[in-house]
Amino acid sequence: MNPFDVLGLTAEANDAEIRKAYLVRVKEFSPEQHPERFKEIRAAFEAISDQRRRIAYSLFGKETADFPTLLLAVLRREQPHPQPVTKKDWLDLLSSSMKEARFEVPGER
Amino acid sequence: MGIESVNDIIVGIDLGTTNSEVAIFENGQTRVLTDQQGERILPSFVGITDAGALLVGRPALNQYVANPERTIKSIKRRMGEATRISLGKNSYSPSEISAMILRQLRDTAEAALGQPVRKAVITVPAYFSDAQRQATREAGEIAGLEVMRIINEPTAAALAYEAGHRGSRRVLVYDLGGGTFDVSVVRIEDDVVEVVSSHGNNHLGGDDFDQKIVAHLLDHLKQQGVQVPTTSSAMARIIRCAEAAKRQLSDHVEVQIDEEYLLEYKGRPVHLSLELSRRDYEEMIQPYIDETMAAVHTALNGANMTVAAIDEILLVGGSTRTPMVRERLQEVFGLIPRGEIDPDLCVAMGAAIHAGVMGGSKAAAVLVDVTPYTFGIGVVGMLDGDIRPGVLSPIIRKNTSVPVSRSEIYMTMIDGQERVGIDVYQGEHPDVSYDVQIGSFTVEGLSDVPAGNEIVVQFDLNLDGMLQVTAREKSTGLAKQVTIDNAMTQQEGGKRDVSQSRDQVAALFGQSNKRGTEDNRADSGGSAGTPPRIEVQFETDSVAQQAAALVTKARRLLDQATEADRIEIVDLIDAIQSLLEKGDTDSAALQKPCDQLADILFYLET
Ligand SMILES: Nc1ncnc2c1ncn2[C@@H]1O[C@H](COP(=O)(O)OP(=O)(O)OP(=O)(O)O)[C@@H](O)[C@H]1O
Repeated sequence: MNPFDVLGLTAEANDAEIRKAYLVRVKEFSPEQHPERFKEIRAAFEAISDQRRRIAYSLFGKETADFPTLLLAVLRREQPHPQPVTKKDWLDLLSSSMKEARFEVPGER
Repeated sequence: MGIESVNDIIVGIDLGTTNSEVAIFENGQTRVLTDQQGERILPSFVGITDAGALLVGRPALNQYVANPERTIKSIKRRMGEATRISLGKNSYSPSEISAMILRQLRDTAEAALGQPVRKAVITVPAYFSDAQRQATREAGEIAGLEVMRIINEPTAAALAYEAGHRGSRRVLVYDLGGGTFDVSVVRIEDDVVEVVSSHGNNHLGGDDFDQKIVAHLLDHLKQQGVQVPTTSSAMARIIRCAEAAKRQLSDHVEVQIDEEYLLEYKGRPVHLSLELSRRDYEEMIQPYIDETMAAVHTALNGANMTVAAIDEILLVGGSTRTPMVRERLQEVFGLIPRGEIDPDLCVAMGAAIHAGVMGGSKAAAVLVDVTPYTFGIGVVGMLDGDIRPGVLSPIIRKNTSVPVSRSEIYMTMIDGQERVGIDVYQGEHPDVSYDVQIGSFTVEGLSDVPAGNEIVVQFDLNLDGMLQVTAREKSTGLAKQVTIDNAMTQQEGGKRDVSQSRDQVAALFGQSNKRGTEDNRADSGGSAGTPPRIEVQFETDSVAQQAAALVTKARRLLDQATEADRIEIVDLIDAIQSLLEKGDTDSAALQKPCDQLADILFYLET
């Protein structure tokens, strides 16, 4: 299920619009009264709450991706996202995935 | 459970280490209820008189010095332990002792409201573990209360605070009580109170500060060659005057401690007399304060925020009256911490607000909370450059919003593997031996296939912070489900004990003027440190379990549904789950949404 649809937004929505839509829906479907609905709304929000996640989502359909997949995407110059993806976006995306990857191979804590 | 009366009221309860309160939400306002003496605060003390009568609250506190061995304080620090605490002739579990405090609060509420009280929202420290939450829920049941929801103390405080303030802001809630410390970063925006991150220590509080002063006083006496017996009334007096000195040091830079005729030692009377300066006291508690400040930074990191992002600091808990706490926070944040809502009462007020919401009152704010712990399973993985078992594979990470369902796929290691053992852990360390194991179970009868058989492990963490785990062979759907429910089941006899305990506590209350209860039930053992035993249930054929299975299946098929179906499915899941939670298990009410859901699923699958 497309997170933009869950939140009633178009793919062009920015951070503030996404947060607003999320809050409106949480008020309508609170965790207390509608736990299942809330889970969906929350998952949708988390998938696209900032630019980095939106890029990851548009590329891989979910927020996290492993490092090699990301690297491949960069090499192929994939840019399916409607907003222009800057060099900094890519770097953020890569470095956060690397952090993630480090957590998956624990032992440095 | 019970008969629904027309205006079934839900009370909010702050079950504290040193103090407890009960409050309600009415006409859009919170009211902390008072007992017959007009007191809003119930000291969390329980005692038995020489004659065997039960004392709860102020009278128990008052007899503490004369009768320390017949008085229990700070029981909250023992919650979740499989231990028995002796009181008079009997021994009780921590949940049973806490139940006596809850029962007293319930009586207070019933007298104040002039109607029966059967339902409550109870607060716990955010950093309370699964076992501690379970023990709290159980205490409620023993006290004859249906625990509608367990909410986190700092979150409750934020709710109480929100009720009085408009506008969006980022708030740091610093909650230092008698026995526990929590810190949460909370975003308040458009009437949504959203906890972003939470951290803490469930064994750090004002009690520890008292202990530092006690140790200092004992040292002082030792220098005079005096040894104080651990469970004497002299010791109880020392503890009491240490606490009093601590409070005075919040307002004065120096106190004079005087306890005349403290005890008789080797035939001579011993007086305790010395001065204590705030500066010396602060040196004693500095390590604790440092620890809380480190936790503050952990919470900020968890929220991905810097110090500068915080608009306000909210102080909760009696120990935040300590000047050093305020000074350190002010130093770090450059903000003057706010304490305008009574730090002792705001948790109970927040609990009442949430109780009001659950009871259908027009809610001021919606609450979104997070789990302060990571939950995962132990797997064979990479640790310190080695491939080895016992590596934590997180499934739900710290600071994830609740409720939440997450699943991960794992693979069998050997050809023809018939079973997998699933060990469930709570904690942050990659090596599971440093985490807390909260359950384990085995899925048996797997298909005879080569290594790499996919096992889906699903974690469902509910609003009370309690976890349900399901493991399923992906190819066949063979499933096993376990609810981490490890408080009562640690003792022989399992769940049955709740009703036994309830009767016993009720009897104590009924007979508090007469002799203590005679039903001296056999000590059911269960020494401290017994590993939790997990109740594993196979899905059988009851309507409730069918419904639960249906819900699991519906979640799995959700991805394949069309938009319209999906909304319908989700609403049906919500409806079924709320019925299940109410314990409404055999009625036709449950059958109807189940049938509807089954219909949709049938047509989805074909
Ligand atoms: N003026 C003061 N200065 C320092 N400490 C104080 C002062 N007044 C109360 N305290 C301490 O506050 C603590 C009680 O606070 P509170 O009632 O908020 O805790 P609680 O709800 O019982 O505990 P918890 O939330 O940890 O379960 C006690 O340790 C008490 O000694």
